[in-house]
Amino acid sequence: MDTPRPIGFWLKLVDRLIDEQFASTLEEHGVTRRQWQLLNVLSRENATVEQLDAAVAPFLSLAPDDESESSAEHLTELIDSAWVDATPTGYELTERGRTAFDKLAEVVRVNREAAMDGLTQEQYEQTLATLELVARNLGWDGP
Amino acid sequence: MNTPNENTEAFDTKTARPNFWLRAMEHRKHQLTHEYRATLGDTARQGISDEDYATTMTTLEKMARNLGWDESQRPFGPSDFGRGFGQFGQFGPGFGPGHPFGRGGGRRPFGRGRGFGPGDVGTKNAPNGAPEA
Repeated sequence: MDTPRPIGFWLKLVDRLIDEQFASTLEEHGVTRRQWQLLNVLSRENATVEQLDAAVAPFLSLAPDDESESSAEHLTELIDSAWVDATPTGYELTERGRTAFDKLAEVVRVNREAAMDGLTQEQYEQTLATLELVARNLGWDGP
Repeated sequence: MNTPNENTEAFDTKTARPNFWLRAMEHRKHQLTHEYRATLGDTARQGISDEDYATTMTTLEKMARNLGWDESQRPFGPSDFGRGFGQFGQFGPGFGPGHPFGRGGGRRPFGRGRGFGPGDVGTKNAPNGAPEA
């Protein structure tokens, strides 16, 4: 195609491809995206359900209180699988959970590296800087 | 037939039907959207050199191709779903049923359970022979 595609085309495409790859990887290994996020939080430190809810708040569905999504429901299967222990002070990864998380994290890391194949670190960092500037130019004021 | 932006001087607005005004609003909305988008690009690129912009475009295209996209695929749309992501396969072996870190083996009857099924924990026939921690 002679006409260059606009940056929005590539942004949407790459965003979708990454999402699909990530979802497929997790599905392949029997973990939901929410569970992966919870495992990520618990891999850093033990947490209560309130702390977990806060950590993944941007991803939880917004609904009235009586219907709102909680991390607790996503933890059930992880506890059943002996990946996570519910203790009086909160939730924590079990040894088995830690091992599984490390394995899955490695798969995710390899996937990410594959997506960057043939690109230099400089190109990658320059691209991130440019995308951040575009986002801020368009009004994003996050940290 | 009159359209919202044609022959407006000759058009008697007093006799216009509601549908005319609905179409007029819709037309104007499209105009404003177009105008907004036209300026959006300039706003978005403020402070970004042509060289950095080009690098970003090249990087994004390379990433898309690394992730399995090529010109033969429609970039968006339902029929595109699931096509061309062959790289996943290379990560599948070693984490299938029987893996020592499996979850869900038998717990998820509807498609899950290919991964780290808890029922398989400690299985001696683990594909990659990973030891039970």
